[in-house]
Amino acid sequence: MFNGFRIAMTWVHTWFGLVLGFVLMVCFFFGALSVFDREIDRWAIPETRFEPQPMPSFDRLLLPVLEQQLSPDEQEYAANMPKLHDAGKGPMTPRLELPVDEYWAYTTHRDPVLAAGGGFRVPHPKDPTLENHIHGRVTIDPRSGTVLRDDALKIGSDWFYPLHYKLQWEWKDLGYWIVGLAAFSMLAALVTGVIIHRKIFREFFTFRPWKQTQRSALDLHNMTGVVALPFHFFFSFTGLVIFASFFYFPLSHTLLKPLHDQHAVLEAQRAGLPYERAGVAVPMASVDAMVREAKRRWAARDMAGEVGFLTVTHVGDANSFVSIYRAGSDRVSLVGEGIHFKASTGEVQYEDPPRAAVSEINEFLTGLHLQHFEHWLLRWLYVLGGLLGAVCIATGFVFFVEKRKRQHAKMGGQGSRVVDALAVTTVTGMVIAAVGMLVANRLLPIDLPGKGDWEKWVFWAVWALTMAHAFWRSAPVAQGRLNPAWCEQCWALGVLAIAAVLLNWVTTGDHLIKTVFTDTYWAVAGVDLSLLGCALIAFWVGRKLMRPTTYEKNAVNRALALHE
Amino acid sequence: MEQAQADKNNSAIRPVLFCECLEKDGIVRRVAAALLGGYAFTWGFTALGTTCLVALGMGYAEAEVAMLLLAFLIFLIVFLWAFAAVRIDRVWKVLGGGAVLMTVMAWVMQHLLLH
Repeated sequence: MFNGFRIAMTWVHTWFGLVLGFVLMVCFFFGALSVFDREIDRWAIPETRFEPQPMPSFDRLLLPVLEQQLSPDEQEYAANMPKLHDAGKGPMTPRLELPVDEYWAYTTHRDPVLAAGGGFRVPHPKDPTLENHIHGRVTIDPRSGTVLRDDALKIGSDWFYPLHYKLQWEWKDLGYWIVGLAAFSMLAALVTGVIIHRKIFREFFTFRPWKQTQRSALDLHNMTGVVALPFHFFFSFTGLVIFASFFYFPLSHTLLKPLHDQHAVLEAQRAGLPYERAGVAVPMASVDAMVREAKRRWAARDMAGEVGFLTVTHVGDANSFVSIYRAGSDRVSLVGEGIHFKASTGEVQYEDPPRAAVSEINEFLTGLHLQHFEHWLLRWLYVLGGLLGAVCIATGFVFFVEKRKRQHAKMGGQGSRVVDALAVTTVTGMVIAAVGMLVANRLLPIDLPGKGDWEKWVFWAVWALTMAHAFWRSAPVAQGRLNPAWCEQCWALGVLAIAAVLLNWVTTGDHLIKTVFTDTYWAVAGVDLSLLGCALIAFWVGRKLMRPTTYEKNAVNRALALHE
Repeated sequence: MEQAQADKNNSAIRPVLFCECLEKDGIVRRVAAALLGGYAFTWGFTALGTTCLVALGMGYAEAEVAMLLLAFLIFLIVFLWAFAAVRIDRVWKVLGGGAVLMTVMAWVMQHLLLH
């Protein structure tokens, strides 16, 4: 079969692109939404609609909250405690009596609320060399120290964002692997795409929307693929690199573990930060004073900044230390310039050394993907790039179907019908599921127990429904015609998106005139305006799909002329 | 005449069918060689590269990052080659053999570095 290089490359492009394209749609679309995950959180949790706050005082505000209101997560306790605990050494410690070993707090320049948490020690572990922590986390209003309800789902940062890199498929980490394979296929599809299309520069300027669907779909596919080629390649590549050492090539945990551990021990000795507890209880000095010292040292290095991330290790022990990291709002590389203090005295124990060239490159690349820095124009360009990627993949599906459906119709094949229904599911269906989740977020009563879980169920249910609808309506494709589900789902999407904006107004009083003009709050206004934009596009496409295309009209005219 | 033109168009854009390849050349074997063989080869390459860089005096973390940045590009090249190569048995020899050889060499190298 592979008697020609180009044919082989075309095969790879077509089939890997098709099979993993459905996953790539999820990655690109929800990746694009993740750029504004914090803003979507504000929309979904109205009580957090206020300005971003700096890291609050640890001594006065955070520590009391963490000491009194943080507890090990129930589900994690149930799942991991029996695995970590050594029954031979004593009875299993009840969940609320586990001693705390670690605290952390994290914020960015876009966060009004603060994420904080801790690790609780398992007193009698089976394997003492492991971390042996049961974790807990809280979301805190840094102005008052109030803890937010833990079932208020952060739809942006805890649902859309992880969806784009692990599909929320936790079992055996399979989600990461499927996304990894999809990202790798994207790299392969980009290279093979360039090989297939020799006349790449000419095609870049070619778009013939008046031609038949197959032709214009291909034009759009080529254009969106080429115009953002570096973007697509970069994000697929860095996405793979970010998870490589954990999942895709975990050399340090397997084959090269001895070498890795030897270097890790040497590194730890150089840093002098104790790995284990001393077992002697010692109170903690003022963390606020340590924060002041860290800021002074950053300023002395000509990189004054705010605290983004703070951890306390071995809480309450003689070996306890506090690590303070800079917020990365003003640089691409995601580096913290960590400064570590001895918790009992508050003196500096260790400063992270400058990084070598390779790490510099790596942190620049991954930092550019994760985009924690402050640059609103670039943020919107990321959204545009992500959506262009989604258009590129979607038009690939359309081209695949258009190219084959008449032939399949002649031969009685069902292949293009199935692909078309799956395309409907991952194009309009996926957006409907996302918007449907936002609608559910505004409709479900605020005091409903487990509200976040209900929202997740709505998301999956709506998506499954769009899939059922797409297959149910797919019969015309097998006769070489268009699936009416495309058009119908466009209308449904438009209506849902408008409904989301109206529901936000009704339930919170935040309408667009308020959030744009009188009491400007761009996070919510941006989500509302994007929803309106989405509705407009959906209605426009829905209307277009209701009419026969120019090509079809011409075909009818030709047939009539012949007849006469 | 219009019909002839349409037929000609049709053959020019004739799609590559999945089943066609499946029957004629064992496409499953090609995909397996590209994905599994390519992955194993890349694994060995990354491991060997890391140990070599450490042997040359680079820090472990640094060496690992350097190799992981290269890994997906290497994987991409051998993956595409597995489809482009004329003979599948040669693909398996190079990728499988390379994977085993480099992994063993990395393991030996690590042993030498540790002692």
